[in-house]
Amino acid sequence: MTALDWTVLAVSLIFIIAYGIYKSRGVATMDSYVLSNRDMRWWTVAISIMATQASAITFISTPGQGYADGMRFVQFYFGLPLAMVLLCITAVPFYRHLQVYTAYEFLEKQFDLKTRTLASFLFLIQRGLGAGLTIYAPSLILSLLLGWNLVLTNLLIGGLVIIYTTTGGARAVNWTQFHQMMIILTGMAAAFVTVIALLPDGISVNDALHLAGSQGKMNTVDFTWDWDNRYTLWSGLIGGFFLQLSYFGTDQSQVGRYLTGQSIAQTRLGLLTNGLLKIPMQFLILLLGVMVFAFYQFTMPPVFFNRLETERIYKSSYAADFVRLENDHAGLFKRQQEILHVWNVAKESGDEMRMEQQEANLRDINKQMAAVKEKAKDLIKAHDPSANTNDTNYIFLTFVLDYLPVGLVGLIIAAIFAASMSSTSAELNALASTTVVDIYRRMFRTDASDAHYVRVSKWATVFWGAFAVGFAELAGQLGSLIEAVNILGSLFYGTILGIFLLAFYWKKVGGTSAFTAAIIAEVIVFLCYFFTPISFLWYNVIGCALVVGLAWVIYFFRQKTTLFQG
Amino acid sequence: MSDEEQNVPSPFESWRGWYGLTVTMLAVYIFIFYIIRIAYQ
Repeated sequence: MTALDWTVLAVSLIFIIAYGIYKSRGVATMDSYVLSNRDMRWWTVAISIMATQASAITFISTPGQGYADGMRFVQFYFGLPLAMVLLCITAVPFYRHLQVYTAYEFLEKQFDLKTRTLASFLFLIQRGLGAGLTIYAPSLILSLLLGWNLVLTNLLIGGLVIIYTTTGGARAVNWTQFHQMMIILTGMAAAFVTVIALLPDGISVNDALHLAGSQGKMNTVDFTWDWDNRYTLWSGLIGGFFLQLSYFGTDQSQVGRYLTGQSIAQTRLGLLTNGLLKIPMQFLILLLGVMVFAFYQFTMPPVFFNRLETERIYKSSYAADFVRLENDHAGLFKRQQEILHVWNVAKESGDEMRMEQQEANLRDINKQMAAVKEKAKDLIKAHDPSANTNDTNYIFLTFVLDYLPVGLVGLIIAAIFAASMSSTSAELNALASTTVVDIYRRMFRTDASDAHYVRVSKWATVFWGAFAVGFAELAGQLGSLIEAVNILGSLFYGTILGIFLLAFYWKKVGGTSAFTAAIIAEVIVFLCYFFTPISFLWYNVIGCALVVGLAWVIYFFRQKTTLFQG
Repeated sequence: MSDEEQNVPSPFESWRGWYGLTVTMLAVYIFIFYIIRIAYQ
């Protein structure tokens, strides 16, 4: 990075922190600290929701996914607008009319204290560890590519977030998220314009998309019903709907964002705007990856995008084999350029049949290049079985560092910092709110002053911030436990969603039935994890269905027992 | 002033209209993506 890049990065970060602290003025009550006095307009709510969901890894890995796998990932978000509509109809009026601070407070109003406490604990475990990973994942990639110290990068991201989230609470989170989102979108737009400008003379955007499409990258919609295919129209509409419903309806890091809306109307409009903007935003980020793919058809890409692993293999006994693979790769690239030249001539003369012929040849070359890459991965694995051979997360940043002009590199790094900070700040705010409102104020100090609770909330924010940074520092040594943390989320999400569904639609089953069903469901989900081969993505569905089904069974059983006793 | 009194004016003068618009937009997105797939695949 040059001095100009460092300047852009430093100015962006200082601006965010200063603005967050500036917006913290007058935050002295729990209403202002936890819910920003419920004074946010719909567009602030919408941007805050989007910034919370899109973490740094979204902006780093989504273009890479577009490069490697094409546009099909966009279907994952098709269920989002439908989930937003259902939440606007059900959850939003419920939460607003009951004037709750947290989603779990709602559970006590519908059921009882034990159900509320159970859901709060499940959230704190899951989100507390998740906040650590939100910091760790981008730090790891930045430290590997830029040679930064991982411990310091974690501390920098976490420390900056703690400063303004502690001082300003929800108000600082919402307003900084707005500016963070502007930095992110500016960075992404700049990268998009640059990749278009870097295409060779005579290759338009339309040509690039046509070329990428011929290589299977413009697979935007898949109408087939295929259980093995993760991203289809149906999995996006149905699976995505349930996933987004549980995330936006029951996760305090999201509920806390949209409860800051001025009114039901402002909150609803914010959620619907999120539902409408999210799909085009993800489409454009994936399209950026597809354009990077088109760019690398004309410019030789590295065999493997993770430089650290490449450098390690150069120093190993596999170096000669790896260089041989690089030579094969270069030979294939040369052949690729010859094909592209013929394709370009055919394009100029309007010879479509010849173009299609060359596109078929290009598919063949790309397949051979992919095979070379697989061999390179085998070498990396042979050298170090614990090495990460998935380089999707490194594709976009490698392009940025190698080809973006001075200044824009700093802007993209600032965008990644902004994305990481925006998600982390919402998570810390939600963790602190839940700790104080659902645990401390409800169970330990029920009659203290508002100022006392604000003070405790600030300490809770610092605690969870330190916890997240501490976990981020350890994450590197935990290895496969990182995957376990992701699985941990799925172990609890289904149960929490089940409890909330009961609270929204079947309140009559009562707190004891819901609580007992949740405990049994959680045990069964854990048994599934330990003793069955069921993929962890299904735990969400199993947990939710078990809670709802078992709660009804317990309810009827208790009814019968009461009747019998009566 | 209650929440309801701060209603956002909608193109249909009701939230049902907004929901319909959202679902329609989803259908429009899917249609556009389908056209893109046909055009470039």
